[in-house]
Amino acid sequence: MQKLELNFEQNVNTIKNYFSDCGDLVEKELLVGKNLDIRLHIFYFDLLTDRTLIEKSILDGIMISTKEALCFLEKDDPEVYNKIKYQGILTADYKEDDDIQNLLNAVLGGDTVLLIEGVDKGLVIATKGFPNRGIPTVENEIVIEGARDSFSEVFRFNTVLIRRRIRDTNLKTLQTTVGKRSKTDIAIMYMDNLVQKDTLTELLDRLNSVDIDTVFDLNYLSEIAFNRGTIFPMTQKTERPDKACSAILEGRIVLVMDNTPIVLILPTIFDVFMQSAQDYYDNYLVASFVRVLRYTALFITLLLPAIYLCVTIYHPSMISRELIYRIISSRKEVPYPPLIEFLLMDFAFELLKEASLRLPVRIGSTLGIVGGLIVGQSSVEAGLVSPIVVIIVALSAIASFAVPNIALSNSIRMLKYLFIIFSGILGFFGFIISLLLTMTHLVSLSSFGVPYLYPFVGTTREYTEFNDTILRMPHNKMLKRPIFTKNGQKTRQKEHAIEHDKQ
Amino acid sequence: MNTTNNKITLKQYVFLLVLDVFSTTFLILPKVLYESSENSGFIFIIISSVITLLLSTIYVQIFLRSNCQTFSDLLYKYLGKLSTIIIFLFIIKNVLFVMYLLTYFITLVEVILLSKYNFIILSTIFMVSIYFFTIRGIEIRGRLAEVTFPILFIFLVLFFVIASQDISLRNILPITILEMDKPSITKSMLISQIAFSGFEYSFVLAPYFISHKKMQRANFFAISLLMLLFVTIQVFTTSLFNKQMLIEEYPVLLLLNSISLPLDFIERQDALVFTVWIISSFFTVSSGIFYSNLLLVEQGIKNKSNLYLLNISVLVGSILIHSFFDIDRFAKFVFSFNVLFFVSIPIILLILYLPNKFFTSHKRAVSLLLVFALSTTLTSCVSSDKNNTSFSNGVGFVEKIYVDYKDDNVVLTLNVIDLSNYTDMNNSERRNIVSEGKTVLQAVKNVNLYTNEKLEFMHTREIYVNQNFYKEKKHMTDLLLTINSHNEISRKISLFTTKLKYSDIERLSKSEVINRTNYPKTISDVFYQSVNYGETLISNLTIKNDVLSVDDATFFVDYEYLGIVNSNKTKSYNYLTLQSQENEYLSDGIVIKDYKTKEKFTKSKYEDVIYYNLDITMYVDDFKAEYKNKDNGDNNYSNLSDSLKNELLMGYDYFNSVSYLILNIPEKLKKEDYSLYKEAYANNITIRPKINIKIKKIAK
Repeated sequence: MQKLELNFEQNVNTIKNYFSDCGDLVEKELLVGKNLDIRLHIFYFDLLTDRTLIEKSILDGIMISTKEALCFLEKDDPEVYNKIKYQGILTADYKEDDDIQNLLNAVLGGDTVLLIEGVDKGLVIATKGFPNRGIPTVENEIVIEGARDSFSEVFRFNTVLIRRRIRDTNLKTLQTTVGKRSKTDIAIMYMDNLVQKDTLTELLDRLNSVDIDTVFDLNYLSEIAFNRGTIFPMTQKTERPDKACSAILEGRIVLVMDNTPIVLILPTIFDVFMQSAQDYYDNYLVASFVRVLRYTALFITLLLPAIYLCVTIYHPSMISRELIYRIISSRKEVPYPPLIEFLLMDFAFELLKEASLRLPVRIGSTLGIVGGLIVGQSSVEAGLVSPIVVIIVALSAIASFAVPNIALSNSIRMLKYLFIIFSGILGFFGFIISLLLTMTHLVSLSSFGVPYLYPFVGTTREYTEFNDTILRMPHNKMLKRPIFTKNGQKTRQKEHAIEHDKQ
Repeated sequence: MNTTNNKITLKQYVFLLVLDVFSTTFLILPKVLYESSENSGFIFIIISSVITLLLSTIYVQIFLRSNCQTFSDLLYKYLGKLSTIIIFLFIIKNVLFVMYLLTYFITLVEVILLSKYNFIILSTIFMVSIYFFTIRGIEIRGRLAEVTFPILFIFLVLFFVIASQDISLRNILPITILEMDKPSITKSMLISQIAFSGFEYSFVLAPYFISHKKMQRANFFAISLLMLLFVTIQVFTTSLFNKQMLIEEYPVLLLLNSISLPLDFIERQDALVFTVWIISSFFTVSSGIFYSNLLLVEQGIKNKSNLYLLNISVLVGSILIHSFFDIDRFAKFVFSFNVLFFVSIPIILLILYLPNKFFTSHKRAVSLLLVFALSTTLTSCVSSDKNNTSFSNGVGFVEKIYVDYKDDNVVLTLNVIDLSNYTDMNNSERRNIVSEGKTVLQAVKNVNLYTNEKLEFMHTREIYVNQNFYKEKKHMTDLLLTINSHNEISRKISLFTTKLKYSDIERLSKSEVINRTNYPKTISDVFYQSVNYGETLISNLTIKNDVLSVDDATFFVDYEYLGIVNSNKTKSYNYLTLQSQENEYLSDGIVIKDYKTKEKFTKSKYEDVIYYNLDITMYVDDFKAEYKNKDNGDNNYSNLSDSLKNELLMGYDYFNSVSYLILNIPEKLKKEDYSLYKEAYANNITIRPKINIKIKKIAK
């Protein structure tokens, strides 16, 4: 650990050496004191800082506000440091540090470092003010009613958006950094009185065990620390502050990271991926209906193609005569077996989807139409695929978009191929086997000790929460907090609140 | 916090035990139990449930009082080193049981679902997935049971509720348990106790239950749930099928297929049974391996490859059994072994636990003697015979079958829909495939000689039988037995008779038969079309209050006979059999002994439709049914008068959907009908026949 010395020039040169060939570094020497012989040196990165803030809280303070106080001081006067610290810095957000590495990190993080001649400590003044897009509106998790603000790339904005909603001293924000080189700021936000300590400890352990050069995004962290060995998302991501706050108030932990416009919520369970913020703003009956619809969509995405293959290849007698005749006759000119036909069509759809992601919106919509026409109608007319397969693929694709979480939707789309291949090769037997393998895998998963399929599995008399799963009960019926909450803090609201509502 | 603790909850414990036990049993039990105890089967299940509960209670109470942590500890405490031998015997039993289940399961999968695959491939795939499951540990077993059980059983319950509208609980009366002979009672008891095979796993599983204090309650729930399921299945199948159970391999499949779901979208509800069955078999097979591994670990053999070796052993053993052994004999052996362990372990523990001086001094010897005695007793149990039916997959959909004979050979003409030019049901072309054989079954098998297509019979709706063919009881019985033994033939079939020969059918196939414009939707439609093409319909039958009524029946075209068939009127059918004075004459057909008739004939014409009403009342001495001779399996006609034999051909009941009755038409009616049809065809008038036949018993 390299410390600052009393030798001012050496200190300045050390820092300068570290930042050699950094053209965007701004460093300036200031002279104050009776004889203008007391040297100060400030370091900051251009535009990584708020220039106005530097001017007003540092330069104005030192050069103008304390000019009179400083102009009587001689070089090596011990009061110089105190005058600058207490009168020259016009902001409360500063700290002393004598560790060079910390000072360097501060400059890299957008703060300004001020070195004072004759002092073996530096002042780190918070001047972060890099260009940003402010508080953006929600782009992916859109709701019709409810708040529209969204997390952004600015670390502090994100923590503020949460704190603004939870005005409770129990809301804690542990700050640390990850990434050996990127040293990305990360905040662990939780309610001290609600969080399970085991969960918090395990989370900190896992974060400490992360040994990576650079973390550009929370998704890096999610994959390294939490999403091991499964295709299913093991962390909930959201861009909505209200959703993050709701999770914190259930005893869950929110990870906020610099440069990431989303936050991670932990622990997580499968069911939360089927929920949308809109569910809580809608009437509970409407919300319940929509949730049932989503679960249906999930099963359609996952199972419909496999069932189609089972029936057409192996068990045509399972469905009505009229329907099976129509299906079989519709593929009379298709030159390859249903499994190949289906995989080709699905591949074409995935190709379209991937291509449209890379294109500008206007061209993207054109691609959709062209793709729909060519891949759909033309291939049917050419006898390459049957119309029923186009319908099944389209239905499965549409259903996949009804799943509110993109990570889960992608997992299901991938998993669908397991079902397709098993069912295509082994019919109904293969279908059930793939179902059992998937279920076995799903029930094996747990997030910080909570079964992934909770509350469908692992419920006991103590933990039984079905009032916010496939159906959403009215808010005044949700008396208990879910399993994530610390024991003894399960009560969310008291019974009398309901009585009051009824009146 | 619900962290990983190698424990399972009460719900998981109950569901796990139920799934471990349910397995293939629910498919086999109804028939096997009916064979030994007829309609008293459900009582034996209840008795066995009580015994199971008693035995599990003994075990649990001793376990709780012993302060032991595992099954092995408990046995060691009371049996000393002898416990090691018992534990290893238990493991061997598990492995053998699982081998049997795997063999049976995969054989059935081959037969029912995947005829194209061989046993080794299917069993290997299944065991790989089992391995993937068993390595996950006890908690994952519990969780999977917890999540799969409710889904499966909600659907099963739903289907049983729908099926309940057809059942007649009077069919399970009178309960004849008191009239049963001792061997039958013993056999029934053993069979019903075997139904709970797998419950002995609760001995091993119990220590992993999260709350030992609630173990008794959990066992009670599990046994009650199993009892409820088995009793419901037994009562439903018995009520619906009664004697028909004797010829049905899997009455549960039939039960589900007899249900008509709204909109008729799914034709085979037995898919649901397959789901339950495959998942349950998955649990049972994996449980044998998993608990064996637990026991090995409890014995200090904590080798990581235990599970791998156990899986391999079961797979290899199963392949050997499939290749070299009689699986039914093997079944007797392993099931006896199961019951032996389940019964003997709690009893031995009880003997050792009780502070009786006699037992204290001789307790080990007594226990061993007991084991020996029980094993010799239990090996007498009998399992079901398996019928190796084949299942055809493919896309050659047989719509109709014409049956005739030539030179004493059966000739089948299979009318196959041509899907290469499919437009709709009415206008698509059909083609015929003709096959011959000494018997109907042989002719069906020989179809492969005439086509490369895989023919699929599930959507066959009509079977036409040449009139000369159906007059020959030998041929007709052959045909009906063949239909009956083929799972893949639809349950929604209609039987017709026709005076056309096979050669006529062949000739007509590319003209009249093909060009049918209106596919029949109702019996009247069928009747109308039948008349056009010289075919005859055998129609519906209902029986209420001692009166047999036939709605929408029809005459044969040549006016020699009147055909009646009961389609899905199972309730009324069973009502008739119930009313039969001699209980053994049930279900195999209906015989009307001598009769006199009164006819009332009215017709009315409205626009282009003639409404044609015929009421026939037949007075008969008695209803009787032909029955299967228990000695040689033939149908016994000895109770029929000779005069009736020629006039009355009795139908053979076919599933729950077809039984038929053919009667002579009185001369007077023939004339009336003939004139009516002549007029109708001459003027292109639609006929809407409505025929009511009542058959009443003459008061004695």
